[in-house]
Amino acid sequence: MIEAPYKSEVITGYLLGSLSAAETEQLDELSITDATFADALRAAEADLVDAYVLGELGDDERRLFETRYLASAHGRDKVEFALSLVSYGERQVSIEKPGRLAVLKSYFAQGHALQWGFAAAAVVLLVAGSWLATQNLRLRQQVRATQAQADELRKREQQLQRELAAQQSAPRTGSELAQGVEKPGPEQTTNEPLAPRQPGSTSIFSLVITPQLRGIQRRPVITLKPETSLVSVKLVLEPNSFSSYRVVLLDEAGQSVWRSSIVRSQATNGVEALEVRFPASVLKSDAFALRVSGTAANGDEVLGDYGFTVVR
Amino acid sequence: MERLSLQTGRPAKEWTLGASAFHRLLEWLDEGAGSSGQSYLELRRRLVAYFDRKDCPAPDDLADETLNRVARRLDELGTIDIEAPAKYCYIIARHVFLENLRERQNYRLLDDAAPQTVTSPPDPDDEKVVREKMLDCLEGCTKTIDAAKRDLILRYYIGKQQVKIKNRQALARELGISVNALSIRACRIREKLGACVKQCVSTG
Repeated sequence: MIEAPYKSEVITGYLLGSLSAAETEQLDELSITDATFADALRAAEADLVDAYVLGELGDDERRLFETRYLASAHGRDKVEFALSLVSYGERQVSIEKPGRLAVLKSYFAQGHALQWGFAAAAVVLLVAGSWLATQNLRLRQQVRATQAQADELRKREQQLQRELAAQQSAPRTGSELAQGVEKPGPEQTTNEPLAPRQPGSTSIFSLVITPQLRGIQRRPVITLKPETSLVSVKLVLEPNSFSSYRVVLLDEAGQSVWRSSIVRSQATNGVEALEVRFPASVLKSDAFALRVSGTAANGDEVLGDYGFTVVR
Repeated sequence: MERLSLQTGRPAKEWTLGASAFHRLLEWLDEGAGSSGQSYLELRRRLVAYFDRKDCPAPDDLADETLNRVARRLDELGTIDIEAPAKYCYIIARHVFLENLRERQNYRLLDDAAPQTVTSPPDPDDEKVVREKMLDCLEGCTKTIDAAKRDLILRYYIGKQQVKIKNRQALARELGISVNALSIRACRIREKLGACVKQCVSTG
């Protein structure tokens, strides 16, 4: 049982989804029935998002933040806004800087000893301005690094799609197909994070599963590193009449551990494929399958399972 | 001050929220405090935040659905015998949330929100444009709040770690309030700015 006053760690745990179900429900209730708690929660959430944006979270909290808090649209919106606030603060300080410098010089020139307080305040503002500029630069570098990862991923996927299209257009025999699967083909996996990991950045594991790999016993095996936070899977589709799909990630027991919203396929060189991304945290060392269903007004139709095995 | 509205999102089945039922709801939530609807607005805000934290696709609609159900119950029974109206609203909200979750899990809900999964990498130019737009909106929104609040929010976010803490302690002393009260005050200003920016970005 959680007792008031609420420790900041408890509120942070609640926001990051790391409390037990009973504790979460208790705080859910308080967030509506207790005005003091509701206010504390609002303030704590703003501080948590700021701490993430400013790189002040510890490794564990940052990992939870990225895999849980950022998994929601609500969380992403809050982070976007916090980034804007930081940029705005930076802009304001840089606009005001010359004026404050002039004031500082003026006070020194007049020899007003009591103006030291103002001088100190101006220095604090200048330091804060420099710090905000540094932070903004760091965040932009982080965004650029993530963008570079995404670009690299896109290039690799395009290359894979070209190779895949070439493979599919060539006539195949059963033995050729089997050989193609036996060898770790380029479509199976890129088993390393795509770029050196930056502090606070997201490592993405990329995997492409083709229909040829679906029906056979040997599944793609992926090895996830502890720092991998996102898994991106491209599922190459067999021809069908659907234009939108849903994907459910099933564990060995057939239990759903993650599900997508509606996903639309994309065609590259005439090959239709879906791309889904989910937190790596839902995968343990086990066998999994991504079940693809086509969506229609009269219900969904299961099109097939794309199996893979995870090793951590 | 926010305006009260009879707009209630998805109305409960075969029942619509009329003016008398709405006033009854306001009075019941007020518990005799005569808040001119502020209790309703505050509770609705908490409900929206609750559904938002639960990652529900349309938190405003679900908050309105919750309050609609409460209003309907009040309309039917005349009163609801419970120690605190907010407690009853939470019970109904939890019910609404579980219903919505079940609907989504069964794929029955037509999800018109943006797909959760990313089907193609975002265009960096588009992202830059959106970020610039947000920044411009934020600049415009800060001009709509009074100077004291603008000063407070800027000073509140200056500094890092120990410097930030000391800065906030000094600011709280200057305003004659506790650091906790200061953080709540800053948070409210931030939320107002956030809502203004959201509105500004969506309306272009």
